[in-house]
Amino acid sequence: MVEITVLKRSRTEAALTQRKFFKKTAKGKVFKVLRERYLRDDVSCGIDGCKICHDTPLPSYGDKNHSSFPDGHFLLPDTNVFLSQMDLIESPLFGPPIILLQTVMEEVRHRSLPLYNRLKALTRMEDKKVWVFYNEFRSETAIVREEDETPNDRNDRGIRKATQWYAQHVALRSSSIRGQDQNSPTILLLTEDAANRFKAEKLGLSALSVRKYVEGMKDSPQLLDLLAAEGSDEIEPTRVATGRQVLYPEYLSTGILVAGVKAGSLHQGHFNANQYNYLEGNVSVPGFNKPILLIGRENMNRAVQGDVVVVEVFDEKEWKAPADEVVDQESTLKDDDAEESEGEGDAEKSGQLREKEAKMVKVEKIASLRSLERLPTGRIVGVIKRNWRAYVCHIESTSLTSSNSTSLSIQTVFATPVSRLLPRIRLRTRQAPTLLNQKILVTIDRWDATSRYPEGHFVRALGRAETKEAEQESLLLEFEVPYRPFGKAILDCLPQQGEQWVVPPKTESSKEWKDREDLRGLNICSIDPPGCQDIDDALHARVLPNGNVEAGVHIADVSHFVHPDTPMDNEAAARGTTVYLVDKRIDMLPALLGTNLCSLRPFVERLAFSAIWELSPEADIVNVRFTKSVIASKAAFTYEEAQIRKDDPHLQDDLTQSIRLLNTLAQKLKAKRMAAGALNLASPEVKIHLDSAESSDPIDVEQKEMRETNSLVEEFMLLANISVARKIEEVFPQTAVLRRHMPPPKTNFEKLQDLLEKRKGFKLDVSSSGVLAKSLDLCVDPDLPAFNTLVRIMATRCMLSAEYFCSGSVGKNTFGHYGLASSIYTHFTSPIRRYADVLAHRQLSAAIGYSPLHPSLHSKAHVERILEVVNKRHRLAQMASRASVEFYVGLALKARGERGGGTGVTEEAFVIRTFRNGIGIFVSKLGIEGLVTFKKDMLFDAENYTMTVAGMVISVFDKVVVRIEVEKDRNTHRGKVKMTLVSPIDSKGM
Amino acid sequence: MASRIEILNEGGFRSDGRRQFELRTIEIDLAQQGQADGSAVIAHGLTHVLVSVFGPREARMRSHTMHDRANINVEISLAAFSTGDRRKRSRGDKRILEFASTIKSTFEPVIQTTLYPRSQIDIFVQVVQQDGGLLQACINGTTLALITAGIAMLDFVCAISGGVHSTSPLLDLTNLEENDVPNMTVAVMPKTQKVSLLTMDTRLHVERFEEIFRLAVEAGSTILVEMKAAVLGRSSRLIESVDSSTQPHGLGVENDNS
Amino acid sequence: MRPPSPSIPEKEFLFSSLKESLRLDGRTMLEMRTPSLTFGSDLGWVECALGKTKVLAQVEAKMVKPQPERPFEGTISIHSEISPMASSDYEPGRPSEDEVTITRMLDKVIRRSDAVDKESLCILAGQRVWHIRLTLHFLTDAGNLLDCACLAGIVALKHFRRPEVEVIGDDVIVHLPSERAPMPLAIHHTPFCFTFAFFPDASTPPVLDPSHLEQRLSAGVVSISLNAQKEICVLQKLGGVPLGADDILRLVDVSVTKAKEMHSFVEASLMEDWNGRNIEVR
Repeated sequence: MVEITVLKRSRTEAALTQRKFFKKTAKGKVFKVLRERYLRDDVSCGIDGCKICHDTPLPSYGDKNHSSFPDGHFLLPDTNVFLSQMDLIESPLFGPPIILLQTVMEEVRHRSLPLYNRLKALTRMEDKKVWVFYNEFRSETAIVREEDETPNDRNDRGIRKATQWYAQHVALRSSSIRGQDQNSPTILLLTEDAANRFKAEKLGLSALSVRKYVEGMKDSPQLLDLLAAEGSDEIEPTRVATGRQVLYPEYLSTGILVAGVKAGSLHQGHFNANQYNYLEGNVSVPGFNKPILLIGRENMNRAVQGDVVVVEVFDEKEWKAPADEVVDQESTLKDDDAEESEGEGDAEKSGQLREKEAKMVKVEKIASLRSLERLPTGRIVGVIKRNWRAYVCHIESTSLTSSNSTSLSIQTVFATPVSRLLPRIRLRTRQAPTLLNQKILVTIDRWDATSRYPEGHFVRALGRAETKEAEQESLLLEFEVPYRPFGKAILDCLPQQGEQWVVPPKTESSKEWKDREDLRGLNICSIDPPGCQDIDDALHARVLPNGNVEAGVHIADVSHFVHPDTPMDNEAAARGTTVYLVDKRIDMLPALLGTNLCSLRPFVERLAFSAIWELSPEADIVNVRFTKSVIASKAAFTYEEAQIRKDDPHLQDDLTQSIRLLNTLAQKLKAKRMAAGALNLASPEVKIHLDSAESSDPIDVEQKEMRETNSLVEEFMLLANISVARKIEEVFPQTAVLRRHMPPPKTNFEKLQDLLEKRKGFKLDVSSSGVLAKSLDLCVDPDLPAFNTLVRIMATRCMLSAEYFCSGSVGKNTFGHYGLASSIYTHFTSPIRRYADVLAHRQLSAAIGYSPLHPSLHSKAHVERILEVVNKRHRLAQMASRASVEFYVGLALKARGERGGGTGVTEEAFVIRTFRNGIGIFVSKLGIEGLVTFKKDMLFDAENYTMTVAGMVISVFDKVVVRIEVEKDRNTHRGKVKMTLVSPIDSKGM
Repeated sequence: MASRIEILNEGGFRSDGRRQFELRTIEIDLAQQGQADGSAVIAHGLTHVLVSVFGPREARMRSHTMHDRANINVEISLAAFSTGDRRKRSRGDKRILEFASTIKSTFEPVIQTTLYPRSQIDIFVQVVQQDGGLLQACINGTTLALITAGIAMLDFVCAISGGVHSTSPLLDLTNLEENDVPNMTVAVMPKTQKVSLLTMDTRLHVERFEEIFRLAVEAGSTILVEMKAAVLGRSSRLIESVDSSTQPHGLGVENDNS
Repeated sequence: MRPPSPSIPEKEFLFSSLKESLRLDGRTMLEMRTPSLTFGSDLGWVECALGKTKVLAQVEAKMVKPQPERPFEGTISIHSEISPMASSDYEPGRPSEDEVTITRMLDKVIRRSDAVDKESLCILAGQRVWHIRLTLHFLTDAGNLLDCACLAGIVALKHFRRPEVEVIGDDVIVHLPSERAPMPLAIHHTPFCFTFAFFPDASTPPVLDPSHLEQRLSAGVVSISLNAQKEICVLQKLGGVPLGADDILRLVDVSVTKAKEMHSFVEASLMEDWNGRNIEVR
């Protein structure tokens, strides 16, 4: 059993052992705090050979390698040394034994928690000789703050006192070694404060500045490099915090903002953060054709991704170019402190940080001389609407005060959002230790002008990072995908028979059969990707007696089940689209409809909405009609099955004939479309192979294969969409639901044109989609077959995205679809998974007189409102799918890397961007983009898009080989893909 | 409040310089306080408690009289200045009522109530200063006050608080520690090593619990040594004064003042 | 007036039978009465019975402004009053000592043990948080009201669902339960309470879940609250007969196994009730 004792403390000691002070809480309440401490004589000095103390890991004579101290010495650094020279001390070359005082530890902890954690790690390191001396608990060295003494002076005095004690203590030991007349080792006080040194020397102690000390060391040249710049100057002692500093300009009042925007002196738009550089963002506003650039924290003025902000644009001579450097928030701010009162009230420290950030911002000044890249630059003067929501975050482990899981106290920590577009959030929580390693949901509550970071609160935990459940849920939340189960009210909207629902027998009185054509006899089949459960389209074709061809597209009749203005309809409108993740589908409509009643499964009767054309053998439309119908699909093929069937000359059944017929027509339709100037765009699409349905561990990634039959389905869907668009626009010119793709502004292509011209000598003509398509076809590098695809991907990125709109809201000349080169377009063919299609169905149904149009669809404002939501959902859903693929690619890479012995995966890649300190990489085989960063700036030629790394010139479009590793960030535990160059040169360690 | 103070640092020291199993200084003053039949002032570090005992005496209310034993009545008051934030607690505060009832039921089986039928023993506890371990101070103080009042008891009752920081047990917690670590208070009767009181309001795993619980029971004996020394010191001084009062030159001492 | 204490023959009969490890209702010493849970049509409405002891628990949620010192946390309040309806032992008006103990204990077991995550009840920091109000009605007291009340309370909280809210910027949208499936509360763990009674004679073994008579004649109780993860939440032995350290640790061990049984029982009951409801559709 352990020894339990009572520490006796005499009343007379009270002055030294009791401390009374007042503490003000964040809320301004004043507390009286009374603390005591127990002074003792058994605090060990830690030096080997000491007769008085035990537990002595430090070598007996310290370090004898320093030129000035041949008798050996111990270092006793003060707080500022650790605050500013941590890199030096952490260096493996820095070997002398260090005595770390408790006073110093506490001061460092008080100043910066991350630094303190580094310091603690230092004391645990095997090859470092660090001894922590608890001077405040040793009776000889404990001191009390005197009146009129600043806490800083008190600590300095405490450090000197401890140095003095050590000197005596060591001397005592030396003299006690019998018969040997040896000089005792020196205790060297290391401090940057000249006044402190002077006082120490008066007491007969040795004291040196860091630079002086390092100069006398064995490896001084290397170590001097590590010396932080401030080391050479005398730094001022810390000032006591005098109140909180205002870090950001205040916002203008709403009235001024609105008036300014109206008058045109201010501009309103959505704030976009730069994912490569956290100190940069931009705002696209109607007044300028290029986004307005915002550089630096003050100019971004607390805006968060997606906020509607008001910007003031600077004079043109102050316009700048975006920085060409990667600035990572985590590494720049790693030593910043979560606790509010310390980090920011402290003028000196915030000054340091500001300087550091200013340096980052300054770099681009030189580059900004080039006029081509200069953008309108400005600053945010107000926020119209915050777009804050709950963000998925990780807790930064270094910001924790205590990681002890039994700790019950509130802690202030940093939460780093998964999205690189967001600033880290300051969070107060009682559960910090348990939340480490977890993905959590955090909402931003406010961002005051006095606070460097926004403040938020914990919403809930999603689970351990990197588990599939947590990653999946965080992905859904991050892209605002509504994935919650459907409510009870929606259940009531479903047919009562549920799974048993069937098309009723054909009778005169049957409601379902009224005005419906019976197409059950037709040879209809569906062609979809493998494993497709929500089959929303099916096709047929047959030769008519007159030599023309009848082709039909049959779409699931979702509007039969989803009636306007019901809870189910509202929910579907809010969801906008079904979201496909690699291993999960989040339905827009309940599964009963999506995968059963509305799914055009084979061999069952299903309600459909059919578009039937009479086409000439040359695929010209002779005639088109739309009708509600009942169909019975004869087969559900995958693209591959359909392809095999079509290519098999032995098969001559009606179904196969029908596929062949459709295929010939599709080819003709496509040729016509291409002739009209449709673009053949490319986006990186990959496919994830899952191990098995249960474990869903990805085995590998490959690029998607395109077959003839894919194109077959696509062409007929396009045809149906275009025909329906014409019809509904004709009947409802004010409110038809259409889709358009605006031609991109020429300026969007400027950079790509410049790149292609300079690097490859290709000219890109962008005057129309047809011309663009042609010049894209010419961008071929015979040595690099993938080059053309890359250029197409990059060209696609220069374009705008397609959007839904209400026909009455825009001019008729802007209806066109740029990519498809069609004058009008809508979405009609996937009502199970897209809400816009449901609206198109309702309008078409009214257009053919099948059912009256719901009043809401007559209202332009209503349609606009719905389509705005649908557009947003659509965009986010795409991003979510992409992110899901990326996550699985990451997993697959990890798995592949592990199989390969943990060295990562090497792949060929293209350089797509160059930065001052890194290059942007695109790995076409995996469809991922990445960054290779270098620690130092390289020789960088922005004009010619090249950079020189260790004598090798790397330029955009170069083919390189990269090593891809998935590594976990130690601080936030978020897995990230890390790329390093393998060829032409190995950038490991650069 | 997020505090930047480490509960137990790597050198094995707690925030006030103690090690894990070191108790705070215990100061005991058993001097007479006013009219009380017995009283004690006890300080565990910065927690100061004054306990006065009146009785056994006739019960104030007839209804409280029990024919076969004495009734024990406990009243607690917390000085508003005893905590940092100067909060006044009403007498009807549930926490205080619970506190009083805890002390009452702790001492009921220890005091030989059957020796004092139809009477009442009043225990008044005044908390002067709080810095953790309030219950332990109240119980230890009450034990001492009952002894000075000369009330027959079966044994001492020695109370001590304990907690667990991560996996390291700590004894005699300060306010700072109480707010941060799961903690319990244990009262032991040292003769039989039996536990008369045990409260824990914070979550703790069963395995951790056993360790700290056994340790706290052990620590009871250490407290006992201090308490015994104080009682012994008081008694010997009392005897001294009685002796000196019989000397011809001395003045008569009526009361047992020290 | 105090209710008449049990008669001497009654007392002696109980003591002598307990000495032989016999209980008046035929249970073994460490056997609980089988709990039964009846769920109401509203979510968060539970009637819990332990033999003849019955407690009704009901949970409501409303939005309030948070306490200024805790802007990031929602609040939970427990309301209970033992009316004379439960048993003739209780008087209206001034709370009796038992009542104080039960209320305090409920507070510790359900609220202070952090069973319900308060941080996730925050909607908009400093502006709007959920206030969860748990009301307990003590219907009849046939002994061990505390354990029954704790069980009723925690099950009601687990059963309860609050409406879903959405925060966009500064706007808070509350969705109707029919429109969007309501959300369960974030429950960190499920503490159960077990009460053991001791008798004046040291050789009489302790009994779990004491009946009314046993409770009246006991010379002290130990209440242990813990969850299925073997974490003790509250352990309370307020005076009474002194016990050896090993005796107490043995009771802890007994409670550990009982807590696991209780946990699976509660989960099963909740699951059964949930399956009988149509709240959400996938």
